[in-house]
Amino acid sequence: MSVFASRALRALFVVATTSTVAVAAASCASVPDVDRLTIFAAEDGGSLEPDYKIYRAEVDLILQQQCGTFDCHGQPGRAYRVYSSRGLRVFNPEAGLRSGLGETTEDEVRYNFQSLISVQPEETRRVVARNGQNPDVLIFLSKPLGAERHKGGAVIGKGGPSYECITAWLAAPLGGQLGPNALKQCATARTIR
Amino acid sequence: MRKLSLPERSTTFLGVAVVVLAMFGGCSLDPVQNGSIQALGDEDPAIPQGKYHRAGQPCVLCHSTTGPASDKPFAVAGTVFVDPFGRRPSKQTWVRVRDGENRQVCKTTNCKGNFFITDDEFGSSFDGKAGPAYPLLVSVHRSLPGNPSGKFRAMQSHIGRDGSCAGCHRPAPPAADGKAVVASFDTPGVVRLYETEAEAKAGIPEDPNDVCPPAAEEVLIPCPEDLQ
Ligand code: HEC
Ligand code: HEC
Repeated sequence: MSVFASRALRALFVVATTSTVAVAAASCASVPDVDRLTIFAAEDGGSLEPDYKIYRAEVDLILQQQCGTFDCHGQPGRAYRVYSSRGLRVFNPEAGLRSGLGETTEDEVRYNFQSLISVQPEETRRVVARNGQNPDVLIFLSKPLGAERHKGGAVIGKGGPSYECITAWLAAPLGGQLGPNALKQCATARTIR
Repeated sequence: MRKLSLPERSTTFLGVAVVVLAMFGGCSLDPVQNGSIQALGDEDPAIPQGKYHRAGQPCVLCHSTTGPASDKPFAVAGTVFVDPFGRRPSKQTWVRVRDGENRQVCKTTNCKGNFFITDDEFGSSFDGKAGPAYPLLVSVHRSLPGNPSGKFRAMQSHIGRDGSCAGCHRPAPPAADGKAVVASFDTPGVVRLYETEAEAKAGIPEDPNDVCPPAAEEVLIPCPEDLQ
C-alpha cells in the first residue's frame, strides 16, 4: 500500500468518526432545563396544589360570579368549567340542584377547584413551588387579563381586586393564610358580579 | 369556443363573486351556530316573520352578522313570560339592560312578550364600536292595574357575552316524576314574572280578548325614564 493511499484512508477514517460523533451528539437530548421538570411534590414531599381552604373561602365566589355564567365557563363544553348556584349545577337528579336556586354546594366548589388547577397542572405547581412568583404564565390569568386571546375578552385588570386576590392565594403556603390586604381585595372582588 | 374579451371576462368574475357572496353572505360557516339554528325548526306558519315570531327562542343566534337575519342584527333580544312554563307571554313589560359602561337601554315587550335592542341603541363604547359593553345586568318590570309599582325582577348574575335571553333561559324539561319544573340543572327556566302558575293567574288574569298579533298596530307603553 502506498503512503498516499494509507493517508487518504486515515483521512477518511477521521472524517467518518467525527461525523458519527457529531450526529450522535446532535441526536442526544439537550441538558434538562430544571425549570421545565414535571413537579408533583415539594422537596419535603408536601403537596404543591394551591391551598383549597383559602380557595373555598376567598376565591371561588369571585370565579363563580365573573367567569361562571352559562354563556362563558358555566358550560360543560369548556375545559375550565365552573359550577355555581347562579349557573350550571352538577347534574345529579337525586340532589335536585337547580340553576338559580339554593347555595353552591361543597361538591361544586371542589369541582371548580379541580377544574381550575387541572387547566395547567404542572405549570400551576411550578408557580406554587416558587411561592406565587410570576403567576401570569398561567393562562387562567393571562386570558382574562387580555394578554392572550380570550373569547370573553379582558375581564379582569392587573392590580385589580380579583387579580390581587387570586395571585395572593397562589402565593400563600399550603395551610397558610392571606394577609389583611389580600383579604380586603378578595372581599371587594366578591362584590363584583 | 370563442375567447372571452376582457370586459366580458370581468363581468363573468363579477357574476361568480355575486353568486358566491349570495351563498355565503349572512350564512354562518360555524357548524355550532348552524346546528343550533336548525334545531329551532321552521317558522310557525301562523306568524309572519317579524317582531312577533319565534317567541322564547334565542333571537340573536339568527339576528347576528353571521346568522340568517344578518341584515337585521340585534345586540340583545328575547321574550318575557308571565308564567314559569312559557305558556303566556308578558306584554307591555319593560326590559332594562345596563352595560359595563353604565349605559342603560329600556325596551317594552310586545304582545308575544318579545323585545329587541340594536347596537345603535347603546351608542358606541369606549373603543368606538357600536353596541353594549359586556357584562350586562338586566331586569324586567311590568306595571299592573291598581299597582303602579308593578311586578319587578332583576337578574342577580350578569350576562357574559350572549345577547339572547333564551341562550340561557330555556323551558326546563319535566322532572322524573312527570311534573313540570321551573328550572333545570343547566337553565334557570324561561324569563318570567311569576314563579308558580297560581301566582301568575292571580297576578295577571288571563284575558280571552287578547289576540296576538293584534288586528291594529300595537301601541307600546314607553319606559317611564324615556318620557322625560
Ligand atoms: C331561526 C332564526 C331566527 C330566530 C331564532 C329569530 N329570528 Fe327574527 N327573523 C329571522 C329572519 C330570517 C328574518 C327576516 C329578516 C329579513 O327581513 O331580512 C327575521 C325578521 C325579524 C324581524 C323583522 C325585521 C325587519 O325589520 O324586517 C324582527 C323584528 C324579528 N325577526 C324579531 C325577532 C325576535 C324578537 C326574535 C326572538 C324572540 C327572533 N326574531 C328570532 C330569523 C330569526
Ligand atoms: C348567561 C345566561 C343568561 C342570560 C343570557 C340571561 N339570563 Fe337571566 N338568569 C340567568 C340565571 C342563571 C338566572 C338565575 C339566577 C340569577 O338571578 O342570577 C337568571 C334569572 C333571571 C331573572 C329572575 C331573577 C329573579 O327574580 O330571581 C330574570 C328576570 C332574568 N334572568 C331576565 C333575563 C333577561 C330579560 C335576559 C335577556 C336580556 C336574560 N335574563 C338573559 C342567566 C341568564
